[in-house]
Amino acid sequence: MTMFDRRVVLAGLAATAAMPAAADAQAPTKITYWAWTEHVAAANAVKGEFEKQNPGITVEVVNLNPFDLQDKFLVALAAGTGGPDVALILQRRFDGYLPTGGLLDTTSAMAPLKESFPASVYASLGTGGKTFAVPYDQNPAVYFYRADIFEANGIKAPLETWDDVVAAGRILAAKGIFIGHVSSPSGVPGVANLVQYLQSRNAQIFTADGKLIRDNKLAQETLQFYFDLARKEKIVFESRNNAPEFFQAIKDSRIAGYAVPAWAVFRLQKEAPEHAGKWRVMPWPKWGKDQPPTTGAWGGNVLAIPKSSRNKEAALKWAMFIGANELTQVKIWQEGHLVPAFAPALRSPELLKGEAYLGGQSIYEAGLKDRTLNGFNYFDWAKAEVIIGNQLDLMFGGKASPAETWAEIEKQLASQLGR
Amino acid sequence: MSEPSRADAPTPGLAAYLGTLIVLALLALVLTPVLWAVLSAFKSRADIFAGDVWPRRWSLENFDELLAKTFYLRWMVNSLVVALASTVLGLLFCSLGGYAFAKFDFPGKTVMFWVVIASVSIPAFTTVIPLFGWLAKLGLLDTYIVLILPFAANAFGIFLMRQYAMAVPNELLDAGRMDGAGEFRLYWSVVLPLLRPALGTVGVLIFIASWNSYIWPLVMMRSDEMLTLPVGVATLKGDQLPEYGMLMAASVLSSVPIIIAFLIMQRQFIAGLTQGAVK
Amino acid sequence: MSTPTAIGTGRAGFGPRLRRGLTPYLFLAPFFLTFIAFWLGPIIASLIYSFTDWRGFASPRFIGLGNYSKLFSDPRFWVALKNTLFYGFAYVTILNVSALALALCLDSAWLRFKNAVKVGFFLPVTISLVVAAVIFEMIFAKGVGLLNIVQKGLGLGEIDWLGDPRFSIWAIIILRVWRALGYYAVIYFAGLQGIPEDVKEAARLDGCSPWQVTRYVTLPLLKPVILFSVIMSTIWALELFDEPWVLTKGGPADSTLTIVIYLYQAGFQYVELGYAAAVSYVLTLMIVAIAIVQKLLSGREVA
Repeated sequence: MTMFDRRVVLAGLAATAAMPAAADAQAPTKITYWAWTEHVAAANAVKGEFEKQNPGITVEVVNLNPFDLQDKFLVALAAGTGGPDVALILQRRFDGYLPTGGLLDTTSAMAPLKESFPASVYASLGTGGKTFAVPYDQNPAVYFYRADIFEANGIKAPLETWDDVVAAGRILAAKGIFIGHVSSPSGVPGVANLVQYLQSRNAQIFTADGKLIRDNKLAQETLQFYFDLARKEKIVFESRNNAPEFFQAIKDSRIAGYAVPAWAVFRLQKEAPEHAGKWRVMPWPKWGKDQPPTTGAWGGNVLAIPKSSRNKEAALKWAMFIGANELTQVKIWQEGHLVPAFAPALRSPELLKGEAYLGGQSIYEAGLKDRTLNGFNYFDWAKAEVIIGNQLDLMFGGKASPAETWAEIEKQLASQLGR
Repeated sequence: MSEPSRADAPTPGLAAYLGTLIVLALLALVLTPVLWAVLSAFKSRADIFAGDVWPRRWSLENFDELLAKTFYLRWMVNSLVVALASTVLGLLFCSLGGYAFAKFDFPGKTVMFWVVIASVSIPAFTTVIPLFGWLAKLGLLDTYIVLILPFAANAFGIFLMRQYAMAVPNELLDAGRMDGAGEFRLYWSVVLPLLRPALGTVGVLIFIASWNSYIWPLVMMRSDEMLTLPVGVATLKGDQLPEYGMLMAASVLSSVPIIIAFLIMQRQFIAGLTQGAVK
Repeated sequence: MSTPTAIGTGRAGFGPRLRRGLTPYLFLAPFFLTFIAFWLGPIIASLIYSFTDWRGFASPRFIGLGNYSKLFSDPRFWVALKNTLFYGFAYVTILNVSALALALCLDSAWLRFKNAVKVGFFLPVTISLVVAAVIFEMIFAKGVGLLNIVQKGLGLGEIDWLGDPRFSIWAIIILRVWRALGYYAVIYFAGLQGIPEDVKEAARLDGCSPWQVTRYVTLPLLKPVILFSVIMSTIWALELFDEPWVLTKGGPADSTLTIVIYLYQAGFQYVELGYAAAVSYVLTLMIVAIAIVQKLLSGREVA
């Protein structure tokens, strides 16, 4: 081996050895927070304030893909090490982490604040009177619609009930324009769309204590309605969630409305800036003239702290700062139009600000303020979503009627979840 | 590399052109999605789903945004360092191992060979949780080492190197030993030069495997600046607000180093051939 | 890493002989040391977990073969198995035939623009998966996607590639072959370059046509490379996850559910870690079995 060769090899080895770039010696009060895009922006915006109020604690905000984040979090939880101090967890995945026993009990910190959160949000934080997370946001749905197309076709907005939606949809369908979106094929991602309809009607799948509801007429009826929008009335656009053909149809003005949480306005702005001023928002339609004004949701997020965190106290402080604090909770509305879980934040004038894209309309005022969000009981939801998503696919594939589909869903949930 | 380099029988012109035409047609098919990605990278964000092929207006806004808003360059450096170090170390370890299997007889050889082969057949998901805990204890999370060392001596590389090393003439090795060369010296100055074509191929394969690796760096890296390109780029997909424009720009930019690496290693192994090292 | 030993004296003695005896072990040490340091413990640990009910933080509870019997009685596992085998067979065949054909073209005398062709076919390898998924979503999109536009132009009608359970697995195969073709062509091309020119020349002088040279000289000599490539692509096919996960999440109606998606759901989403470990050991055994069968079918050339 010549001198030169040896040097190359040694240099290579030295280079590999000298590369742990991030500082290994973590200061005892540095906490790590895992989140994604809009939440990262919100966290970065309030981080300075937190650090000022809590001298000696610094926060590192890590931006991850939301689904990757859930996987990373689970690996760390199961390995009992290597996790963040605080992580933003999808509500739909949260109940799966509970049985791991790896989450910090937040009961004593949360109990005094119980009244500051919607009961449905608070109830989703744990089981048996204990909480294992800090609430963060909710995703209540509104109805986006094209004011120009409605007007041109003599449709008067807001549409008060689903019957009105169907009637308007028929007018538009005659011209090849859709008034909604149904996720078909559905798969797991599409289940969230159906849940909006179920939740707004308080059509639970599980009771509050986790028992599967059998012979669930209300859920079956809702599924029938969802199916009929697509296949009997043919007034909604069918595609997978966020499919390219969906956004192309939006851009081509072939979709005049759809029900979705408020954050969709950012997506519309991105995909169709040319429609600025044409879109408006109305509240989720009622299920009948005398029915209560409610809405459904796509499932929000919560803040969880792994027990393995070396700075539990600081971590809890940060979680409370972004979850149970007006300043931060208003920020998540500004950054991502995620509706605060912390009730006092809902009174902020920020929420009433108009959107240029919606012709100056405030989404919160026009679409959410006088709607209540029912709770929805998620249990073993990761598994339930797969079962439901598959059966919806079979239904839309013409293999089973909505009634048969719901019966099969119940049967499989019962046998596989044992609830 | 100069073409045509190989002395085939002279071929009839028409058939050659026809054959070339067919291959080029297939190439066009394969390149369509690539071209789409490139064109999309130059579209403005709103036109990506507009359904037309050419950008309505050529724009660099995706590239600007990508470089301004993300750690893109840092991710690229991370990926390059990891892929290059993995390639160098991998080539060393795999050629040593492959040569040992090809040219030595020793007790336990068969068992060891099957251990090597069996190690590939265990899906990554199997071991990730206990392995993560172990690496965390070693303090290796969020370091380059954790992306390089566990895969440096990989079974595919050893297997492939063994194929090529078997072609090394025994007489050459024996002659070396007669001359009193030590075993490592024999490997370094006789075997390794003969393995040059294999080094080029295996090098490309290791580089790409490392460059495209996703789940592993995703689980092991913990800070924004330490992500590798695929993991970093995936953060642009988000949940409800995918940054498709930046995604396309990121993909176009990140293809550049890999194409360069490919060309260099190709030349490397063609050079090895034209020197007539292996015959 | 071993250091260069002092140059021997040439005298036949105990020293060099022992050194030579140890040499293969030293050369294999990097593999076995890293294997023991990183992989062995976790492999054993997860084997143990596969006999337990383990849901993360709490201690695993030993349940014997419970996970394995649950696995074999779950109809979804059999769906995943069927899909994986079907996909694996189609993918490995299409991929290897086309990669070999491409490599033969690249190795031939008649092809023009060789460098451009080589780089061109290699380009898809460089596109990251997330981006490839976005592009193929647009290409496969119902009605407005490029593929459907072309189909309609040819009078073939519309196909909902990602939404129709009959076609979804083919959409995955198309994407996967597209991503892998250049990679395998490189392997085959390297193998072809290793075949001595004089052997082919001799065949030609004996009056063989170019096709006969390929059929009776090149391909038999290429057999170890073909076997390597087939085994390698089979192993990776059986571990298929990325493409269906980003494109279809295993749907619609489980038509693209693979064993690794099944494993991923069990482990990472349902947090049934013991069960997931059992699934992965069944998969490992399958892979080893198939690799052995492929090796036996091919004769004695390798190992």
